[in-house]
Amino acid sequence: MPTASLVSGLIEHSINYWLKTSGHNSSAPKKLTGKIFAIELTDLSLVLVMQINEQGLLNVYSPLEGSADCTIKTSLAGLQKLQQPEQITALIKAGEVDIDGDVSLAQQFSDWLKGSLIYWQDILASFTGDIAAHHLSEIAQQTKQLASQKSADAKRIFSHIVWDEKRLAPNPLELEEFATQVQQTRQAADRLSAKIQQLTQKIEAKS
Amino acid sequence: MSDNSENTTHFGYQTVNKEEKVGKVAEVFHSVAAKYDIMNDLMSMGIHRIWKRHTIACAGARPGNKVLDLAGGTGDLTAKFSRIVGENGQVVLADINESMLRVGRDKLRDLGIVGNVEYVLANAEELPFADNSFDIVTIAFGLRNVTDKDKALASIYRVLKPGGRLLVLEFSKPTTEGLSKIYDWYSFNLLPTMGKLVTNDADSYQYLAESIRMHPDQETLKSMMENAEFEEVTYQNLTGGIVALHKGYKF
Ligand SMILES: C[S@@+](CC[C@H](N)C(=O)[O-])C[C@H]1O[C@@H](n2cnc3c(N)ncnc32)[C@H](O)[C@@H]1O
Repeated sequence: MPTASLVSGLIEHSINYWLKTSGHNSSAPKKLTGKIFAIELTDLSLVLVMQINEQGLLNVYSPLEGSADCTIKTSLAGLQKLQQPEQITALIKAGEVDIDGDVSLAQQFSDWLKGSLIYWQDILASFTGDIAAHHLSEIAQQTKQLASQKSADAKRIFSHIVWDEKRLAPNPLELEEFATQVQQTRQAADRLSAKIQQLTQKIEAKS
Repeated sequence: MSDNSENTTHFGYQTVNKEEKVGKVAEVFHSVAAKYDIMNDLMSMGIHRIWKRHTIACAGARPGNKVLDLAGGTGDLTAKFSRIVGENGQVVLADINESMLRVGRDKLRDLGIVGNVEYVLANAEELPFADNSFDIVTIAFGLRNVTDKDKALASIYRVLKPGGRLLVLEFSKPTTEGLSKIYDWYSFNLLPTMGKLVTNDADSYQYLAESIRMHPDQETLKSMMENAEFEEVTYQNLTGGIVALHKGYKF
């Protein structure tokens, strides 16, 4: 019904705005052009029909008329869980997700869409950069605290996206491990140089 | 008497000669063409976009399809169809009015829509296309302006491919008394006033309001489509029946 058309319209506008500003539309896989994906959200009684067009932008519609190349039927929660591809089989077995059609197409589609997230880095980086600049200016302590709080939040969000979603950056545990290793290496190097010094002194004393 | 009724038709509430109606409708759209899109948004508070989206979804177009957007005016539906059917498909934007076609063509070109769209000056009653040429025909807010609707429906039926479908999006009859009253007030008082303010042309919008009221209601249009041999004819009320979407197949 029209409400679904309103929702699909909003989704289409925001995704396409994002795809255009990031330029990600130009990297749309040719293989996916024209293919129809339907996502049926059972708890919202909403079907979203998505199609990548030749401009690399999305057509989003509701309802589905005719058949789709791949239909995914699930709840909002199920959709969230689908983010981890290794879960798919388990989710299907548990009856939380129902997939009909070419799954590999849907996988490629979602990979491409998620690929656009890579550009969040730039946008978020400029955001945290702004707040850093804020720090430098002469403002009251309170505002400063607030700003640094916000900056920390933004950094947390940022790092969350960067290492969790895309695994572009090492996550904090990996970083800690790395730091420990550096520490150990440095200690070993220190010991080694102490040893060398000892030996040199011995040799000098003998000669 | 019978002689008389055969040669006359409605132009809004006035009864006019059939030929005269074609001329008068043309006059209306010539005079509003330039500001047509702005008025559309204002009049319906943007809801016409949602009705059109819904129509596109229900059309079920696929890449490679051939679509006729009849009485397509400034090409809102054509733009969307063009992106769906892709370079192997084709969309024909047909309208009886040159000014509307021109505004449509310019608008679509600005949107970067070229290649799979063709513009044809045509009367819905006598479509200049071969039999069985289209997978989908849509006529959005156009049928009520057509003088001989039965003739237009027959003509559409002829150009549809077997298995093809027709979608008619048109103002209809609100399903509740209350909505009907509000809507009447809106279209006979507010609408012509807005029309005057934006296009400096209250008469055209007075005509619009009247033509909406004279248009066949849901069930009447359904039987008209069935009389034109369409099958599995159904309709869906949108926004409380202010608008209805009729669908029928040629098998
Ligand atoms: C209200 S506009 C609708 C335009 C467009 N479909 C939309 O929804 O925005 C009606 C259009 O029908 C066209 N029209 C009127 N009579 C026609 C006929 N007999 N054959 C083809 N088009 C006609 C008019 O020129 C006008 O462009």
